[in-house]
Amino acid sequence: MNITRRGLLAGFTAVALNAALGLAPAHAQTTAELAAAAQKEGKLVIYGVTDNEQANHLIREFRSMYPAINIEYSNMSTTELYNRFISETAAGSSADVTWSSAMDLQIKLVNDGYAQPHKSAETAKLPEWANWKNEAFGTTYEPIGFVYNKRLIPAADVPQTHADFIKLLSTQTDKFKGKVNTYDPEKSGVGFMLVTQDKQVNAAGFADLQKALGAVQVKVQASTGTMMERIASGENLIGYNLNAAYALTRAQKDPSIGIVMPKDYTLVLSRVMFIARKAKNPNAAKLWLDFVLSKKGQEIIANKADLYAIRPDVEGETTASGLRKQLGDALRPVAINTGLLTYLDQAKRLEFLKQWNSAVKGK
Amino acid sequence: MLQTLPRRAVVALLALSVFFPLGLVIYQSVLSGPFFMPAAALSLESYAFIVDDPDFWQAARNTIAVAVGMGVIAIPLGAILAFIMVRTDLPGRKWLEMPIMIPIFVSPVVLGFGYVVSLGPVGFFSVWFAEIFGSVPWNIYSLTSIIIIAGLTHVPHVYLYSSSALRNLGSDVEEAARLTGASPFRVARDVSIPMVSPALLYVGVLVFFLGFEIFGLPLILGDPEGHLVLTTYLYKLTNKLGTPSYHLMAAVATCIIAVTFPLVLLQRALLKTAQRFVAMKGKSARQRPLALGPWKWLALALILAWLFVTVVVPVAGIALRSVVSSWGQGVNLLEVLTLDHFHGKR
Repeated sequence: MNITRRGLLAGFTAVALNAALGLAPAHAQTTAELAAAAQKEGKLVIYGVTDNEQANHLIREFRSMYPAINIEYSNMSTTELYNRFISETAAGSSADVTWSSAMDLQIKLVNDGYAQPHKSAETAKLPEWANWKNEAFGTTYEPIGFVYNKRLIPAADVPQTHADFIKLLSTQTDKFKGKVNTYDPEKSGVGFMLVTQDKQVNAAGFADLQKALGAVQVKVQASTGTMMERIASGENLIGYNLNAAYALTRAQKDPSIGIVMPKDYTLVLSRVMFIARKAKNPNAAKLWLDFVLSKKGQEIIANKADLYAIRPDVEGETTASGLRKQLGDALRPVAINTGLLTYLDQAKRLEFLKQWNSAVKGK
Repeated sequence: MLQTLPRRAVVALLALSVFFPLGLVIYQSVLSGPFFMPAAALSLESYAFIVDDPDFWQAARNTIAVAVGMGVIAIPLGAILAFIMVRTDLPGRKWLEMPIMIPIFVSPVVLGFGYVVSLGPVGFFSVWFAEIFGSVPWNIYSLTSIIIIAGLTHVPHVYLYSSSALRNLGSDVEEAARLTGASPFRVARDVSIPMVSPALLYVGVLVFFLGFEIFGLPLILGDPEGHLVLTTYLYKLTNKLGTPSYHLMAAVATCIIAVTFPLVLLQRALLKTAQRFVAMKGKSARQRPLALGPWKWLALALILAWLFVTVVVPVAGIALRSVVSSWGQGVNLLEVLTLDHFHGKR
C-alpha cells in the first residue's frame, strides 16, 4: 500500500464532509456531485474526428443541460489527433477527452498510459467488448459494407455476401476493371484495420478477395468522401469496406448511392473515447463521457448524428439492436482491446502491406 | 549605432525563425522517434528506411520529371505570353491581364478537384467529348497529365517575371528589327526574349523549385493510380507505419531541403549576375507596341486556348459541381440541379 499523508488527509476530509452533509460514503460519484464539480470547472476541451455538424448535435444538448460548461470541440483527422495529443501532453497538457475512429491508435494511447479510468452507471451499460479496463469506451456501432452505384449496377447483381462480391468481380471482370475502390491500407489507418480484420474473420476467403480485387485493378483512396464521390459519379461502380454510417448520410441526399451490409459477416467499428490522464477538467470530461453513453446521448448519435448507437437498450434502425434484428450473428464488432495493437508493430505491418501489394497491386 | 541595433535584432530574429525549425527537422531526421519523447535516440534508421523503400525512389524520379517538365512547358509559354502582352498590339490586352493571373490565385487542390470533375473518366467535358467522338483520348490521372497541368498553371509565374523585365527595356531594338523585315515571331525569338534571359533563368530556377514542392495537384490527380512525388510520399508516411512516423517524414523533408536550398543559393547568384548584365535599367522613354498584323488572331487564339484549359475547364467543373447533388455517367444534370450546397445543407 502506498498511501501518502496528503492522500489520507484528503480521504478523512472527504469522509468527514460526507458525514457532515449526511451523504453516504459512496465510491462512485453521483451524477449530481459530478455535475456540480464539472460546472465549477466550467470548461471542456475535446479533440474529435467526428464532423462538427454531427458532433454539434451532442454538444448543443449537453450545453442545454449544463450551461455553465463551455465546450471547445476541435475537429481533426485521426493522425492529427494522435500527433497533437501526444506532443501537447509531452509539453504539459492537451485535450480533456479524445474521440476517434482510429481504434488502434486510441488503444495505443490508453495502453501507453495516457488515459484515466472512469466507472459509472452509464459505462456499465456498454457491451463487454466495448469497454477496455474502464479506460477506453466504444461510443458508436458503425457497420462496414459495400457501397454501390444504383444507376449502373442492376439490382440482381448487387452482392449480398463477401462470396457474392468476389463472384461478381471474377465473372464480370471487364465491366468492373478499374471501377472498384477501397481504402488504401498504406494511407488510411482505418482502411488498414478493416482489411486485417477481414483476414482474421474470414481467413479462408481472404486470398480470393485479394485475387478478385487485384483482377479488377482496384483503385485505392485515402478518404471515404472521395470514394463515395467516385461511386456516385459512376467513375467507380462499387466500393469495398466503406463505413455505412457515412454512406447512409449521403444516400439520404443522393439517390444513386446504394448500401449493402454483407449477410455473411459485417464488420462493425466503434468510435473510441477516453479521458486524458492529465485532463485539466476531469469532472467535466467524466460528465461528458456519461452523457455520450447515456440513453439520451445515444439517441442523438443514432437519430441526429447519423452514426449508429452502441447501447443495447436504444431502439431504432440506426442502432446496434436494430442491426441485430437485421443481421443477427453476422455482426462482427471490432473488440476494443490490445488485439488492435498487433499491426502497430512496424515489422508486422510492413509485412502485411508487402503481401497486400503483391497480391492486389501485383507489385 | 541606433540604426544598426534594431536591424541586427531583426536579422537575428529572422535567422532564428528560419533556422530553428529547419534545424529541428534535420535533428528529428536522425532520431529514432518523435523528438519530444524521452525514448527517442540518435539513429540513422530513418534514412535506411527510405533508401530501402521503392516508393521513395519512384517519388524522387516523378518529382524530377514534374519539375523539369514544368520548366519545359512554363518557361517558353510564359516568355511568349509576356512578349505578346507587353510588346505587341494584341487586341484585348487590357482585358486579358486579370484572367491570366487566375491560376496563381486558385488553390491547386481546387484546380485538382476541378479537373477530376471536368476531365476525369466520367467528368462533364469527358462525357460530352465521348458522346461526340466516341472515346476520350486523355487520362487525367496519368503522370503526363499532372506534368502538363502543373506546367500550364505555372505559366503566370514566368509571365510575371519576364513581363516586368520586358517593361524595363526600351523597344528601339525591336523596332529596328521589325523595320528591317523580321516577323513578330522572329523579333520575340532573336531580340526580346534573349534580352530578358537573365530574368527567365531566374524564374526558371523558381519554377523548378516550385516543381519540387508541388503538393495539391499530385495529391488529388496522382492518388488513383499511385503516382507519388516526394511531398505526397511524405504525406503517405504519416500513416504507413500506423503511428505517425516523425523521423521518416523528417528524413524525406531533409532530402527535399538538400535539393531546394542550393536552388535558393543559385537564384541569389543568378540575381547578382542579372544585375551585372542588363545594361539599360529603369523605365525606357520610348515603348511603342509592335504591330502583329494578321498574326494577332493566332496569338489571341493561343492565349484563349491556354486560358480555356487552365482556367475555364477546372473552374467550370467546380462551379457545375456546386449546383448539382450528383453527377457522372447516366445522370441528367437538369434533374439534379440544387442550391442546397449554398444553404449549408449536405
